[in-house]
Amino acid sequence: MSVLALENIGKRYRRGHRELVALRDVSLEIENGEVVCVSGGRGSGRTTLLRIAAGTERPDEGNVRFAGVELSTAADGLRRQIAFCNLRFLPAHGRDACEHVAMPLHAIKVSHDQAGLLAHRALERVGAADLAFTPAHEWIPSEAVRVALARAIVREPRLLIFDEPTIGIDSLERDPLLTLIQGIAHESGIATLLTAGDTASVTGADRVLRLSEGELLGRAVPAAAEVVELRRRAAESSP
Amino acid sequence: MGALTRVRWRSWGTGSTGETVTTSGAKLRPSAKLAVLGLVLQRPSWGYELVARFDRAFAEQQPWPWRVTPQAIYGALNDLEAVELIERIEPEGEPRTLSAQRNARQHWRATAGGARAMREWLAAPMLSNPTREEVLIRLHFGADDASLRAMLQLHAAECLEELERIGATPALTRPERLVKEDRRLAVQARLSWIDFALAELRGPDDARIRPGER
Repeated sequence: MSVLALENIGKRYRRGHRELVALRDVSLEIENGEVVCVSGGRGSGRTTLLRIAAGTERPDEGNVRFAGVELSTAADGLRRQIAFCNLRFLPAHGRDACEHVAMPLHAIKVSHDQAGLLAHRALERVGAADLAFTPAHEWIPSEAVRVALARAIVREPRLLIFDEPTIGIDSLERDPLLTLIQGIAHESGIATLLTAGDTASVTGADRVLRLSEGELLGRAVPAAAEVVELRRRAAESSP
Repeated sequence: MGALTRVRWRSWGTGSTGETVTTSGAKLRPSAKLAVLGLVLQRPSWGYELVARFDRAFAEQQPWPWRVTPQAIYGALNDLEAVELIERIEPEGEPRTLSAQRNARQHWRATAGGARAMREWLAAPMLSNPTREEVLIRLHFGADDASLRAMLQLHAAECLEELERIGATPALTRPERLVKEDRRLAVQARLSWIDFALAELRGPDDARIRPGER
């Protein structure tokens, strides 16, 4: 069973008398531990796709299933297994990486000490342990990506949605970051949906798709052999 | 009968051959020969008329003209006849004089095998690094909007598969990184063109959200 399944999604917006199409009959499935990259230019429907996949927006047509459950009716506990990562979510001035990463744990009543410990572990995992007590305004863009990733994985999600992970990143640092995201997705069996305005985020992606004027081009489902491999890897990585 | 196969050219930095081996075994590449086959399929013609039609279809196309010499057109006719993709149409009735016999225009028409080979070539996906000739032939002979749309979707699938291969290839040294980036940006350009072409086929009546509109 796919972790995320978008089935024939359609979305329209009204603007005055006009009805504008954001997504047309979009279907997409993502497996455990699979990294899917969706590229598309401005106005392609990328942001709408992300919001619908994350459950923050409802489609006009079609269904969104997360772990086999219709997302709109899923319990909060299940919805919390979706991590939405966006580099625009920057912490308040002065807050350090450890505090920023621990915040989602405070929301689910994890004790302060335990949250700090888990945040440190997450930062170590993304290679940003040395930033633990560095305030946000001192991070360079690639460090901000690592911290954002640590914050996203600290609650061990089943689905990670990362909007434009490589935006503003130096080209030499881009591939190592994408390889890191892929490594974490594969090791932990996290289904990962990356988006990008261009094709710079293709490194490490198991599948690459294109949103073109609201239409999704490419392989909506992984090939049978890929599913077998992903499930084998997920079984190996599970405790 | 073997299955339709597309000859793939996977090495980065080299152009696609665009060659397709059809079920009849004919090897078709995007060349003047293939364009002539397409023109003859549209309607039977004689040599000089084909030269003029080729010019109108391709050489006068701005901003990407494709010019060939008349000799290349005549050579293509002979080659296509040799592999039985086109055939001569016998003139009706015997010319009465020797000079009439000499001046009779030799018409050519496509054989059933020629029509099938062209159809199969058009149905094969355009790879991510097509030549100018391949793009021009597909756009000219793609029968209707639905066929062009299907062609663009197949082309997009090829480009996305190439991006997956590019993404899976480690690039540790500077030359490797430069080559990888070269191919990635080239494929990205193809995808931008596909976006443009799909929007063009969709037409102005089908409202879309423009950046910034919500």
